[in-house]
Amino acid sequence: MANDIDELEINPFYKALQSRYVDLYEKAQKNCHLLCIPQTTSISTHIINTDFVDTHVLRPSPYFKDQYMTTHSSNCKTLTLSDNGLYFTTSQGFSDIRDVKILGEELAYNKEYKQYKIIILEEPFDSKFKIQTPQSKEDANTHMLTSKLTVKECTDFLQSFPDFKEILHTLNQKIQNFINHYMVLENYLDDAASRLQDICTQTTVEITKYLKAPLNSNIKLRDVLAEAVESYVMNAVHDKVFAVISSHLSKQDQTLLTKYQHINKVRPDQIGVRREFSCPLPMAVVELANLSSLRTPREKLVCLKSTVDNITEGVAVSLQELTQNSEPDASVAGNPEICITSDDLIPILVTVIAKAKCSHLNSDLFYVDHFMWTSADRDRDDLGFCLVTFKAAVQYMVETDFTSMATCLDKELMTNLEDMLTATTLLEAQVTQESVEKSNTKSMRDRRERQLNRITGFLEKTVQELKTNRNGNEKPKHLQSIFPDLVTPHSSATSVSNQSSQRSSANLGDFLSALQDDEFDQPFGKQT
Amino acid sequence: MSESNPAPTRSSYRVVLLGDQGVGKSSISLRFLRDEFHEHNAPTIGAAYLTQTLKVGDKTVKLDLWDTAGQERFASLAPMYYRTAQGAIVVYDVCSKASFVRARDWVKELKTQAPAGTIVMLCGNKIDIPDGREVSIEDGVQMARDKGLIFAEVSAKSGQGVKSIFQAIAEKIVAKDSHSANSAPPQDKGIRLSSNEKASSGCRCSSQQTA
Repeated sequence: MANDIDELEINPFYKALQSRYVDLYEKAQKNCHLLCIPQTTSISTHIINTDFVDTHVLRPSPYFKDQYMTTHSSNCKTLTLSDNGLYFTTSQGFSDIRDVKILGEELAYNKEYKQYKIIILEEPFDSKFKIQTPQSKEDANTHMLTSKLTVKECTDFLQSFPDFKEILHTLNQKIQNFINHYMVLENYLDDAASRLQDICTQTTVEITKYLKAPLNSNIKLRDVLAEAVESYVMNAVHDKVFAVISSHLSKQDQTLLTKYQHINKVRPDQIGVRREFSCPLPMAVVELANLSSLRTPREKLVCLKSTVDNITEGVAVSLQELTQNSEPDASVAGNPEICITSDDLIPILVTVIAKAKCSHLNSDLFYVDHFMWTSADRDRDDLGFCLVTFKAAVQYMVETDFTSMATCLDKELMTNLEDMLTATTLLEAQVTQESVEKSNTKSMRDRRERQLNRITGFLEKTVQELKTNRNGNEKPKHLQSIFPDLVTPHSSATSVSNQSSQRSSANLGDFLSALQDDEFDQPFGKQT
Repeated sequence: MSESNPAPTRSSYRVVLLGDQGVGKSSISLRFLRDEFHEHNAPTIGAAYLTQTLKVGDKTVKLDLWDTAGQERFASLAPMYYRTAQGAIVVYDVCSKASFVRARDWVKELKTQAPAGTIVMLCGNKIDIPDGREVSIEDGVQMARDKGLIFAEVSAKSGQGVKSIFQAIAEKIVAKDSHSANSAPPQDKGIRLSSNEKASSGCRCSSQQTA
């Protein structure tokens, strides 16, 4: 209950008990009463008075189990503890009947070494003590004004407004109409885009008519709604539209795929990656490898941004390690001016793209570029920059002949596996740390879980490729030593794919750690 | 993100930095960033995209500074960056004649390829190096006059002149933008309200400025 101890240290009511109301506090301790402390954020110092103290120091009812009474000298009030011990219900004497959640519980001892309990409450028992700051209102507003990213978030958000029900119904009809009756043609993708844009714009206009004051004048909320509508629509039509885009750009996508193979045989410095920035970037690769599984342009764009962020983060960490391990007079060490410019970012991105092997990168970029309309530039220009950088990297890949540079040995797939090992280890470390710190649990865990799943999927793909590549022309014995369980015809894909989402990260780590002792080439970082 | 609607909101502007590798493009924007708010900005390793707010008249504007790749092998990629920008700063190294020649090419390219109305600025960097100068201030002024550009010399190392180049280009962009906003019909269709964004502001910069 580390959190509760911290809570008690800063809690104004608990402090008041130890100072101003120390007599009442001592009396409560002596009688082993139940001390109920509303959490710090729910109270303010000035509302604490004797009435407040009496309301929150409880004694068990002499008549009924699980019933408690306040310690007022007269007119005491009663409360009931729920059967599961999770909340109190106020009853007789309170201004209203309500459930108050119990957040934590502490055992303490009085001078006679008798136990008494301290309970942390979500809020005071009586609503008359509640602070009237718009805190909770603000939270709701913040939620409302935060961009929704995933399709589920967008859908839930739109459905959370009861007034939108009819409009959403009409929208579904329009979408169905588009899917059933509109023919998306390769050479008229602009027309498809403008039709979908019209659907989104009209819906957003309709929706904002239903907003009540003062929400209807909130531009930020309109943007969030417009984005949500857009994601809702694009998710629904993704399969239809994206199939045509990828058919339209299949040649370009194919060209890129062959480029990946060439680039993976080239040393990063030949593409222009500075030696000090040359390091494996497994997290960025895994992030980008997920691009094709996303359905809305916004999600894809955010994925591009996360990839760039992961690159920056990965390079920063590797630089830090380099600085720590290098001689004090080494050129990299302690140079505060060292930074990633576009001259650095583009070649690094090229290596990451080649490793992530995005099969439809051209189509994905086209999709983001043409099927995203709402507030694309507003407060999110870093997204715009990332998109342009990706387009630049792709153009550079297309224009450049990497075959003449190819020097690396054909071990790139192994390196990928090793990168995944690093990614898994990193994730494991993070997951462990998080569980220790009990921090920020659900969303973070979900994210880690997703990332681990992506690694699993990515591994599956890589192992498959490895198998295809090596079949027949390489020494199977060597492979067997590396993948004891994975080289026989049926085992490779299945054994990896059997790692369900439930499979623990530790197991994945074990599987990969078996690879650790093998002699892989390491084309990043340490070569001279 | 469609290119048919590239203009950002009117209080946020894109400025790209062009120039040879090594002339100090990113050092200039990093200096601008660090001088303004050291205490808020944790040292960042990413210098390809930076953003900074500054005051133009009574209006606060946000400048998005896009670094572009200066290496020859990436030369063909630059248009992707400046195509949607409102301003471009062409940087050269006063200690490198070659970089000045390259700057001339950038200016030419911008004049033909960048959207009409892009504000272009010429900027000589590294004036802190006492004996290394290969490009005189007159050369810079001359080129700027010929091409109708804003001109300044700066030192990213000492910080001299850095803030004023961004101030100058921001003022010029805002002035141009308010002018076109008043004369042209609004581009945004649909629901966006932008009537209060036409705040006028005086432009104090001339077409040629020396540091």
